[in-house]
Amino acid sequence: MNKFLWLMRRELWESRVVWLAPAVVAVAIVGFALLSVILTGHLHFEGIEQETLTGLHDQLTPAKLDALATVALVGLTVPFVLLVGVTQFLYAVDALYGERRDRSILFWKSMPVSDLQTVLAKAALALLVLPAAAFAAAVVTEIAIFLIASATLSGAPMLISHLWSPGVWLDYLLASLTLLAGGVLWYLPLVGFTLLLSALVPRSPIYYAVLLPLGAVLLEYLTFHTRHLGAVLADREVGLFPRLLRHQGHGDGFGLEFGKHTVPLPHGLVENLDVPGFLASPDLWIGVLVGAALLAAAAWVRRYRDAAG
Amino acid sequence: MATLIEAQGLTKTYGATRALDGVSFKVETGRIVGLIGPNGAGKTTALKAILGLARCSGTLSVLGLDPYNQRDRLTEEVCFIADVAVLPRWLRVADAIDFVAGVHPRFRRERCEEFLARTTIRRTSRVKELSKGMIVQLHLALVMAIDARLLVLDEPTLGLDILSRKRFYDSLLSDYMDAERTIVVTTHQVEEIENILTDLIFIDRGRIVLDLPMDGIGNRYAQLAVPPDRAAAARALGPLNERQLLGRYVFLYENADPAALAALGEVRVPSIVDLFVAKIQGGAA
Repeated sequence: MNKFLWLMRRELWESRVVWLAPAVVAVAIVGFALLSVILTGHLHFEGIEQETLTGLHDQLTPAKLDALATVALVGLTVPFVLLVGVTQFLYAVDALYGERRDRSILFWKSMPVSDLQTVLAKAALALLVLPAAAFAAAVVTEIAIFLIASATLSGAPMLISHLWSPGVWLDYLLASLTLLAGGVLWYLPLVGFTLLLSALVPRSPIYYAVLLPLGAVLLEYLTFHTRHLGAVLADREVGLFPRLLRHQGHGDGFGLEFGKHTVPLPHGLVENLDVPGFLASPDLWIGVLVGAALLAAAAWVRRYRDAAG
Repeated sequence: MATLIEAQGLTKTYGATRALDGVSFKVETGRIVGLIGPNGAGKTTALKAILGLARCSGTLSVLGLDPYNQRDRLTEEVCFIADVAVLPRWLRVADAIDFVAGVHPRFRRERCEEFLARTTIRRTSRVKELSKGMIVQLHLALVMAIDARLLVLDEPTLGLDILSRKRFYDSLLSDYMDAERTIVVTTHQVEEIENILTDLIFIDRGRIVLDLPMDGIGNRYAQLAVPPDRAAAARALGPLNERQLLGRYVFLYENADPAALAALGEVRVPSIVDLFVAKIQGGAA
């Protein structure tokens, strides 16, 4: 196994939150679903009552049933996406500070591993391993929930068969993996910034990581009465999704009819992916450049922070 | 004998303080060098410079490399134990071995296993579950299994009991040291390393006040014990310092005439501790 993989394994030994947090969320969701089945006898399926669902059953075409299954998959993924946002931040903010706090940095530095390799391993863990672990937990959760649904939604046999439709799953998996890959690039500057603070500040990097951006946004507003920085930061937090997965389903009448209202449904995730548009976005590449510079700065700080004196 | 470390006019300032003030020394292959000095004398700064962890002015070459700018190449050949507390508490013993084996091309797992087999350390334990002595044993097992040319130890036995300290140095001598290896060690517990050192460097306020091989001490320094009535005569020979011990006066001389000293009383080679007191406190007084 090469050196870089050992560095990543090391991170997993230290930060059990990487796999523990998604596991806890998965167990919580499945446990809640089971409890709901035991207490009420049926599953609350995406907020739609079973009776409503059974009533809708007749108006559902196979395309709409596929879309419903996709909505269920996406809905079950959302908690894990939010989780990654939190754990990525908590991991990165401590990644280069923890080793300074317990002085183990002197042990790691006695090994033939460069500071850049160390920082890159930590960035790879935050950007790649952490979301991948959460995604794996999401898939396991979805399979478990769909099994429970299959056992309890006996009134909707058509829907159940569509829950297991290979086409729906393939579409979901491909789109998710694309988003995972896009996230590696998109979140690089945020992770780079957090890692740099983690390497740089004397103590409590979490306060710096929260208060510095907030303070900068506030300062901009008080000084210029503008909100550009806040907009850029907010876009960086959530902008991956609208860029890579265009919003769609509105206006063409494809959806579930509830009397006069139509709840729009997606036609499928992959066909709405806009990979060329995403890759052509200047925001993406500016972010990648900034992120790379921040990672290099974090490595530089780890290498030289106590050396220059 | 090849020169492993060569420092010329090494200087390092932190604000107004000079941690190192034009320090020059050489360390040759196969030696065990004790770098001894009071707190704040510049020992750790000197070691950090050797390890490429501190930038100093002057010239410094370790294994022919510039440690500060070529640190990444140096780390394969140089090992160090900074002090006992630096193994991360969450690390499992088996994982620590796997990790070092994974990243260090010169690590020999069987040596490490062999050494650990002689301890009571369990592979499944985490560092936080080990005693201080066991952590040092583990750290030493990891480092001794690395085929490095230079081992740097900064207060390696700090906070350990006497038995653990003794075991540490015994292992170092019997299991690690050979003609190809070199050790530089700093410690406050001078008397414990007296018998293992081949060379001695005293450092005080950023300057080297003594630098000689252990077997050269007897040629240059002598300790004389005399009864009170001969104290004045002994004092006249220009000692570095004097003290009273059990009703006798004890003087320490540098480059004194052995015959003149022998005529006054009992002469012997001073211990490192006595020499340290004379050179550092005596010099300051």
